[in-house]
Amino acid sequence: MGEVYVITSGKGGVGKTTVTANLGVGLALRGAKVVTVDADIGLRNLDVVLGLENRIVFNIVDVVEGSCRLEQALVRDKRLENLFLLPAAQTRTKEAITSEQMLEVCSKLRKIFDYVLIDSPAGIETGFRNAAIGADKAIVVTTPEVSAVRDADRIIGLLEAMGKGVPQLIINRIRLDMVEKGDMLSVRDVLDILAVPLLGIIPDDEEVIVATNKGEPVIFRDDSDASRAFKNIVARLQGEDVPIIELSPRKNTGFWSKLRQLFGGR
Amino acid sequence: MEAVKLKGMKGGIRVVIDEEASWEKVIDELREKLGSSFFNEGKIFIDLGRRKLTREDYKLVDELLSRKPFLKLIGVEAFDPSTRAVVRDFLPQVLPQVPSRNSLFHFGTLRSGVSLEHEGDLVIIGDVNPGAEVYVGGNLAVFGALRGSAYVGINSGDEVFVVALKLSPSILVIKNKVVSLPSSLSGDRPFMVTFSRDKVDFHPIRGG
Repeated sequence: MGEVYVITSGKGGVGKTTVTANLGVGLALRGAKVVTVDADIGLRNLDVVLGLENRIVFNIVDVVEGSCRLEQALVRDKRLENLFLLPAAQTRTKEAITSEQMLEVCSKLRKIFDYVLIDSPAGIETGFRNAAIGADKAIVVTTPEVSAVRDADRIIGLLEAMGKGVPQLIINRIRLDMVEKGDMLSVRDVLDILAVPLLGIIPDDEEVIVATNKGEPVIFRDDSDASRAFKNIVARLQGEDVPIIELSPRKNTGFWSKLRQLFGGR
Repeated sequence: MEAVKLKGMKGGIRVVIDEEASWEKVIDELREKLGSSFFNEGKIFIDLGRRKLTREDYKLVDELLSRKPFLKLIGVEAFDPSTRAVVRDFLPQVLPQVPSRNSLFHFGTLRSGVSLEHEGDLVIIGDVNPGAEVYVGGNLAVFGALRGSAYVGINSGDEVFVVALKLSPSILVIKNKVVSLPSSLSGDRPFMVTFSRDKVDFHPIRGG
């Protein structure tokens, strides 16, 4: 039986879809059988980020309405044969699926796959609830912004109320230079408020934007900071103990550490 | 010559500290004199005269006194204004005497979007996060960080207090008055806000 994760955030635009795509690819690269599910019906994106938009025939609404079998709607990734996408319908709304139907889809998927990653829509209404209802565990994505943290806090409360336990947190798009200047919330500031376990931090990296536009998740690359961060998160999801590199202001600003920095060290 | 003289006065002991003796000597004598079991309880009054003290200096006195929990310091006399300011910081806060009514203990953090209402006094064991709100008839105590909105003292009489281990509320309203926190108030240590006869006061809370 596979594990079902919902990737959610409350606020839109913090990187849920990017995280879902990269974790999906990362787990598949390690040999797991993975399906990513786009639960953002009417505003589907996950297909584009994975570069699979021109391979969609059926979608999740077709499945629950009985227009096709579940297996027919699954899109196999063009690079990895053990990675699949269950796309959302673009021409329907969140109300096209009920929670019972979503639960059924999840229970079928978990029999086929090792990991089911559900990309939740933004918001706290039906779409979010349907995305979360079939999940065993939740991953909350936030950026180090006051508004995103507040929404993440709300979502954590709702997930706890739904009996999903304490979610794990990914802090996305952190900029060390801004944190050092005190212009951005630090990892510690965010954890101070949210008080949930940290799954990982992802640095702000232009490569992610390039990769997203190309439909080629950044984790496929070897040379980017974000790619390394995603790989670490994937390892942690599989139970490996990878230390989190703390991107907080350096406390040691004495003469010797300044000298070391001058010569390229830390 | 004695650096510390003890004189009886009405209701307690007056501790007169010599203005010339070295502070080291004063502390030594004070330690010795307060060490006797005679000073385990009762009230004392300290007379510093014209002596000037820094925070570190007076801290030594405070430490000696803190070992005598039943010895009550009822006052300190000092002519030097900076010394007075130093001492004032150490004196026990005069806190409002508010009878407790119908208290509710809430265990757990209030996350964004949660609203908690209670007509009596409310004690929260956890944080009140930004985006959460509490409506409290009486007083509010937060054993955690108060970062959300708090409406306090809605039903209570003249005196109300709010206390939190970290005090940086988005909105704090006491008895229909919006309380603006002084910018000097650091939100990361324990503070109490008291509201008494239409006057708002802020008190840092020191550990014992």
